[in-house]
Amino acid sequence: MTHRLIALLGSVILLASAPSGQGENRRWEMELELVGPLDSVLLDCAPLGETRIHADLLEGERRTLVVPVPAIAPLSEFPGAGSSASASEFEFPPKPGISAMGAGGTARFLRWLPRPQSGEKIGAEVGPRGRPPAPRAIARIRPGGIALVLGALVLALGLRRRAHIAWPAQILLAALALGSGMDSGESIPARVLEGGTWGWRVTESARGALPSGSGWLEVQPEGARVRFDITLNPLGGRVSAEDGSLVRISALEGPRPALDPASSGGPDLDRVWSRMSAGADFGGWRAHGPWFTGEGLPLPLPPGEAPDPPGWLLKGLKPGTYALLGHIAGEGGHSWVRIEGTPAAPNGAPGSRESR
Amino acid sequence: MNSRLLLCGVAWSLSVVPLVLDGWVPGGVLPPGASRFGLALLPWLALAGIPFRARAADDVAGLPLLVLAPVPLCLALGLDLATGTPVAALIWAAAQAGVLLVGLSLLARISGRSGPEGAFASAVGWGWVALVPAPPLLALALGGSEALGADRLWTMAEVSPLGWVLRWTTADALGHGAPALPLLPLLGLALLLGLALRAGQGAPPGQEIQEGAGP
Repeated sequence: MTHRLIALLGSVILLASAPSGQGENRRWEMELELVGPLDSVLLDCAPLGETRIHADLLEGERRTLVVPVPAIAPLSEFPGAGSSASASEFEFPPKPGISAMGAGGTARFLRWLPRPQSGEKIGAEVGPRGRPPAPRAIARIRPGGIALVLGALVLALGLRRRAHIAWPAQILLAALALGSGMDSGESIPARVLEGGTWGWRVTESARGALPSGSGWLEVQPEGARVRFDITLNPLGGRVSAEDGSLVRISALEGPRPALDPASSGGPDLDRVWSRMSAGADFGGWRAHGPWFTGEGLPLPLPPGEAPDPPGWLLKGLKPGTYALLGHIAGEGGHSWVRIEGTPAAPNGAPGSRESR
Repeated sequence: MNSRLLLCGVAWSLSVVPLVLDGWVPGGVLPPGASRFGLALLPWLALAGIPFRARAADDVAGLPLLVLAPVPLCLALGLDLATGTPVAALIWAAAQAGVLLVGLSLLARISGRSGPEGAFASAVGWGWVALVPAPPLLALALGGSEALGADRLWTMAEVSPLGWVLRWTTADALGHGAPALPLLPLLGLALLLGLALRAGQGAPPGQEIQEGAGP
């Protein structure tokens, strides 16, 4: 109990003193042993959140798995924490309360996995970068709203020769319709694929929820409760924040966009900006037309013919290095590419090869 | 079916059906970030001002567009509210929409009651074409022109109430704050109303249709 109190106090102090622009990681991994019969397991990290594992294990079935929990380690951010063999228990989060739901099944904590790598260090130490703003939540009409609008239509048709009754009735129904929009509380995730000579990583942000995935996870506001939902059959899950938004930074898995200025092997980009590292256009951003797969980088557009890149996309880029920014066509309109210091610059410009 | 009822049905369907489908079809059918209110308003604006004439008393159902429009539009406002669009921006947009819709409906009503003959009556019809559907369509047609930038094309489109509202449906336009005062669309509307009133003065009294008939 005392340990939990100390851990909680440490968490509060760290949350309050976290540097602006980088929040606390809210995703630790622990190894757990499950023995069936087991319907589900709750890992309670109150007040930070919880993990729910939908296990559906049969009697005698045994699984050892790594699961994420929305915990905070009191000393996780101190330099050197976790590197010593005599690491204090405060370098890891306090163990969550484990509740196994099922007739006779058990869930047993085995160990914490190593301290997560800082978000800004994933791929390489590239410094703080602007993150994509979480898109607005998805809203849809409640079934009652659909019924209301159909009812209003029928009423209007029925009273079409009695405008003095139809008009007030429609105004009344319109006032009711105003509250018929339903906020799902979630948005399509925005993401930026970020590359350079150091490697690739992806930063995702969303209001409400993100699909399951590894990496550094932050939540805004920092006090918002985080919940992981894990399913074992099939293996998958999601992470959600109550009344908050999530940012996750992880190493890019899967294909990396090969945006060679001579011929793009990456996704179609409908907006592109580039910055030379040297030459006549040194330091300035140039907008290009849409850049499609298999084509060379289009020539720059005349100044003023295209919008500037969004401010968050520029934030943190090192001055004087070649950089390429792009907006990926489709994908909900919220996917971007940010490359700094790629090996080749477009059109054989001077200073086209450089390394960090 | 009388033509006015058909017009109401088209406007109602075009404004309601995409809103409903967007929430229930996986992936949605409307562009993300676009104002649902702006999208729902477009069909009403496009059809409210059409200065077609009723041919007979039976063709007039007594169902103005303005009676049917509030429920779908408030539904769309509710959706914008739910996704976090600032309330002040929505109130201001709704006020502008109200003025433009009433103005266009009034135009249709006045021109529907006036006689078909005369230069002024003809001018109202052509004026409506020139100031309502033409500017955004022209901007769309010139969209591939390299000589005209996106800003110039939007300026051209926004002469029309349709183009003005179309701007609200671009990515998160209302999320950045209240829209400006629609000076050019209001000026165009005032000009058309003036022409319609002048045309109405020249119409023979026997051709005026019954009160409440509308366009």
